[in-house]
Amino acid sequence: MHNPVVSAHSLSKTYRVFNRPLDRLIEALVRRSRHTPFHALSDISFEVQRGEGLGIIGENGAGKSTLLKILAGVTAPSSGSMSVAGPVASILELGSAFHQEFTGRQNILLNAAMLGLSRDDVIERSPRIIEFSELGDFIDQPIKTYSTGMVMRLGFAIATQVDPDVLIIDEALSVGDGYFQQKCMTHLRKYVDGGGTLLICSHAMYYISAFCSRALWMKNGHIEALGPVEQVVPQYEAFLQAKTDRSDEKPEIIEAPAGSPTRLNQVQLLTGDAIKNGDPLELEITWTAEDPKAAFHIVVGLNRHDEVEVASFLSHRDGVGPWSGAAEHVVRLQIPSLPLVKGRFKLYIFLLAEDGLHIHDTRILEDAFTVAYEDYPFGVVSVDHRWVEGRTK
Amino acid sequence: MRQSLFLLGEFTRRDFKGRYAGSALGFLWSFVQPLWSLALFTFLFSTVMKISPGIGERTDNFAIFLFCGLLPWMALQEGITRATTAITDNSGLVKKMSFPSGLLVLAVVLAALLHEVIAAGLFLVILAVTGHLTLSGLPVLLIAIPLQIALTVGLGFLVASVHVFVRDTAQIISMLMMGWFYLTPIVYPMELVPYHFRPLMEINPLTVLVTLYREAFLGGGMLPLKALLPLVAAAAISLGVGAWVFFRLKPAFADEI
Repeated sequence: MHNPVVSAHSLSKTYRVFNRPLDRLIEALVRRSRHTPFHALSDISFEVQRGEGLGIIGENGAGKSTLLKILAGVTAPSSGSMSVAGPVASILELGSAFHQEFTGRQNILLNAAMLGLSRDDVIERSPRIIEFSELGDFIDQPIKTYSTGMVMRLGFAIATQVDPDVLIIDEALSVGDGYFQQKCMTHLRKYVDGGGTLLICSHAMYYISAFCSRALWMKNGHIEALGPVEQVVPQYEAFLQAKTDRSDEKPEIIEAPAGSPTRLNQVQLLTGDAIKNGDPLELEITWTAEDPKAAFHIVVGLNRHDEVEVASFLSHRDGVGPWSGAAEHVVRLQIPSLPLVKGRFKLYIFLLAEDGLHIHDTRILEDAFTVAYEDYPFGVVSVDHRWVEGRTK
Repeated sequence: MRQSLFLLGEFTRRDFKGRYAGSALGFLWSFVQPLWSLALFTFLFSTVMKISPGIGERTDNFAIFLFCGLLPWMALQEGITRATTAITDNSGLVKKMSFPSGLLVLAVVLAALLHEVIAAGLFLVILAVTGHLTLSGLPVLLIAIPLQIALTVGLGFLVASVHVFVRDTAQIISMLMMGWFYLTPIVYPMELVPYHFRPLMEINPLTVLVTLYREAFLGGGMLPLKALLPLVAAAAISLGVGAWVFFRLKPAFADEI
């Protein structure tokens, strides 16, 4: 293990809420408490190794920006300590240091100086900054004539040329149009691949997954989870989804019809509850029939946890069964390769009469299994496909 | 350190150039403003109110007498007034970027000093053209200017940091500055001040500074140490107190503005 580039030890930040501004001045000078505390961060500890990307995620007000501000040295922690080895550049807000009346070219100098470049470095890198920003002739126009997108492009272009050991970015990637965003992402990718250490805070999980190997999930000023992106990001997304669900109506619970003589005994997922895309799935269903004449079919419904119906498996449609006889029946549903990409899923298991209509019993496996993923895919299922060049013949 | 100097230079440039950016006359305003003050005060106090420097002063030309006093005054006033809002005006920088924020205060003081240098150059030209130029006193400025900078920077640090917390500071400062201007023999000679007020006038550090400037531009010499003392003491105390308060309050800037 190398020495960590960034390390934080029980960082806490308490904002002092004052009734009057004067109280703050008095307290700062005489150091006697005149406030009500607000805990924005409590006991944050973590380390980041050289060349590692750490994504900081969480809801608004969770303390992400406060944490980045402390690491960037803009504000001081109330307690705890942190250290950042080597030059650090932070983009907490793009273009915040621009002077409206000055031209883009003039602003480059001051902005780059504030990010830590020496005069020689700035002069040497100015052409590359201008080129990256793609502002063309606008570079010699005052900033006040720029559109928001142009200001952000220039801001990011400067940041790209600072080349720090540690780069701290707070939600600054919504830069300009799609093309420019792509360019910024490519740059950041190169920066991380070239051994740069990146701390980034974003609500876009795509960015987090693209640049970071680890994620830190913050909730109410605490660390809720810290670990590999492929673990923490799904956890966080599930949390967000669950929060959305809670505001929705509860799904209707399907009661087993009264008076059905036959019940499901056991429903068991043999393949476990953690699955990856392409893994097999096997579900074992057992029931005991007492009436030798009765025959049964099985229907399994696969829903995403938010009740999107994903797939259904019906024994009478597949031409198997019905199963009859006064005995314990064991039936296994085998899916050789599950095309699901990500998410939490639930299973509905129905024990049906021979006609395929009358339900004897129902079993719902809430949280039946979770599909984890390594990179960040879009969508629900993976679909077989190929790419072909040229027109159809 | 080198980086801080580079940054200070850039801040000063931003401040100096930013003032006139977008205006038609631009840089020429640096000349127009002192000349306008000079013309107004000369008309008011010399032509209307018949004040004449007279006995005890090195010149009997009111405009020249006045310009000597206006030079340090304008730099001090501009420096302190602009320092008051130096941190709050740049809240975007202070909240979002990591840099020594004291440079913002130093930069406005330096920019004010640059304006003074321009006005002083103009003054020397006027003196030369009107045949009043004597260079023998100018070395006095080597003492006067560092003391003036220390005084301005110290007071600037103090008011800049206090203004972050108490936004009434800017109002109070503009009133205090007006008082300070008229309670210093800038537009009138010490000779006109009633005797029993003179000791009070003499411990005013600005009186000492203005006197130093008159000695410098009008062929005088160094003041005795005793006369210099109010200025030296004020510069040292304000620099010490100002810097202490500023660096004490600085960690809370980003949270407050």
